[in-house]
Amino acid sequence: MARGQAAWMLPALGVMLAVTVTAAAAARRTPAAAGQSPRLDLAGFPALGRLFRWPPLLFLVRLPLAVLFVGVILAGLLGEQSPGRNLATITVWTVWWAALPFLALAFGKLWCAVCPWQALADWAVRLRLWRATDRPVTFGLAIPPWLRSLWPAIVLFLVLTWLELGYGVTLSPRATAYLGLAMLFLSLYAGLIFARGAFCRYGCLVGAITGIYATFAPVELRGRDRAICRGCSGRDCFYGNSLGNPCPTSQYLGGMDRSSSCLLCLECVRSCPEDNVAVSLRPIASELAALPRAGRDEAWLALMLVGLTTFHGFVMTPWWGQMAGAVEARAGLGPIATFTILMAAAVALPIAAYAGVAALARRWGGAGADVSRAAPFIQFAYALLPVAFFYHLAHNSGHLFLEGGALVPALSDPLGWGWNLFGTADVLPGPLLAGPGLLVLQVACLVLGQAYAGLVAVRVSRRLFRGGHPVRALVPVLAFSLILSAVNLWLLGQPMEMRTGL
Amino acid sequence: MRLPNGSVGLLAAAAVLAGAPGVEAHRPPPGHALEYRGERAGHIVEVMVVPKAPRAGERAEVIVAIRDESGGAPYRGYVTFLVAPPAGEVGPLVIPLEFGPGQFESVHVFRESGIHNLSIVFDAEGTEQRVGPIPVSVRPASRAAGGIALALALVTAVTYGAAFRRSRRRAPAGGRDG
Repeated sequence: MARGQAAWMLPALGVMLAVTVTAAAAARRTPAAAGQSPRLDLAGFPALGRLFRWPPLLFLVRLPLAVLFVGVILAGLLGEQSPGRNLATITVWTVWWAALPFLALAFGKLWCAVCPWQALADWAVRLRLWRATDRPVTFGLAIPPWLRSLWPAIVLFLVLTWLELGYGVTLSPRATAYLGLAMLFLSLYAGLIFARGAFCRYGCLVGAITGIYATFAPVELRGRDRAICRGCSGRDCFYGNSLGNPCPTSQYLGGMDRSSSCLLCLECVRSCPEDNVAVSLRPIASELAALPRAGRDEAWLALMLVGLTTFHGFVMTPWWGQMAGAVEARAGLGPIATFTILMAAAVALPIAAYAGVAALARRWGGAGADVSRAAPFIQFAYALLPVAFFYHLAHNSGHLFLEGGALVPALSDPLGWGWNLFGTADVLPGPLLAGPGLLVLQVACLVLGQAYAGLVAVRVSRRLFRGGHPVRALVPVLAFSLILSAVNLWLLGQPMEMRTGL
Repeated sequence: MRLPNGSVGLLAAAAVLAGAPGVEAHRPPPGHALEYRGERAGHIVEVMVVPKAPRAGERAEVIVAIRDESGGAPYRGYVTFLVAPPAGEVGPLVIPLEFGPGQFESVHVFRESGIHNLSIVFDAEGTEQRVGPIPVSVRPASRAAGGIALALALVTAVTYGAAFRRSRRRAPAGGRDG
């Protein structure tokens, strides 16, 4: 480790340890089941309520994004195949993909509401731009039970990561365009075959990631008064009516307590005859801290994010080239095969280590048969999610702040053909944030992630090992989260290869 | 409350850091790369392009190692990779990243098929040194992706037509379709 890196990394590790202990101690003093945190119902303000119920609202937000999406596809297929000059690669990888976790942190699954490929698919299936339809163009088949989980999205996420880092799709405008077309095909085809938004709910990797990150978001959509929902015989939020389409992800507001499947499309706001839908602001991470129902598939997604976010950062450092080169030379493998093997290891090893940690926690927790073997594995995964999420933010802030300016010339010359539409083709703004300022922001992200990890781990431990030793069960989990954060911290100090080579 | 053993994290990070420097420098296996070796101003320049014959529109890595001819000391300075397409002007590649002492790498997407001339420029003895041109044979872009996209578009159009006819035949669902 370079002396310069040690100078900030060791104090940062100390701060992480301190906040972990403080957060854990604070969580220990609060009730195990967190009560309802305060909410500010935006839909309760008359003007905002009217705006949310205004049918063309979503269309007007989706339209420019759909136009941009088509432009990105055309730029990728027809424009100059230079990643630093083509609108497709810069918009998709340098700006959108890098900004996505920030968007999820601020607005939850809002991206899903305005998603351009789903917008095009919705318009084609509903044959309406904003009004509700009673005859969608679909076979309307039920989704097979084996597809009803996040696993299709998890598999697609793994495929995308492989394409992004292994195949290098981020460097190829044409491949980026084909990827966009693939997403359009999947959402449209799923819409033609299955009822409602099958792809949004089970297949979309972007929706799955923003869904699990939405547990941090300060925005939620819920039934305002559950008693009114229970007394509603029509269930128009679920089935739709002449004012609003059925919920695309088959949510029933009377029982909805998670944001991960809510697309924030506001169809239910329009269709609810009782005006009983609240679009609220809430404290950051309150959904995660309240320990919602744990899903096995969602826990696996959280664990994969732990491995993949760290792997993502590692691949962009000089160490990756050296490690991959050594494996290639010793095993006699090509770069793609080497990448595939190392990526599989990067996903599997943290999960295998975590399985040991969860087993140790169960043993030390002393709950015996009261706690199933799977329960600690599934539930403590939510304690590692903040570590992955905040490292994702820290890593992406580097891309966004250092490279985001590349969008300015690309908008003026989207195809790289020498155009100058807005007079900014030769303007390349410098980094929005760099040097110590960026590093402080990135380290702060990791410290915050570790604090949330401590908070959630204590709550999970107290819930699981109520009759045993929750503090003892906590030790391996917190130590593991600290190890992960320490590795992520080290990665922040490494030179990072940028997407556009700026 | 008992404190978690924070030293575990420190030890783990130290183990990661200690293990990393032992890894060998990046070098693709024999036969996978186009290799070129040149000498300029007392420096040995080794150039590799992976894959050996890249396809147009797909990524290729250009790896360059520069060291002193006598002592073997790695070159410390700026390096620029230049490429000239078959019927175009010379232009720089993405700025190479120094992946190790004297080892520079850049990822490049060759835009068209044909022979591209690659050159490496570095400073030695106060003057600009140029190695090359190294001819890189770029194969035509694969048409597989375009073919798959067309096939999927056709399948979608046929499915859309069938779903449309079916939706017009059935009575309005009143929204209760799912």
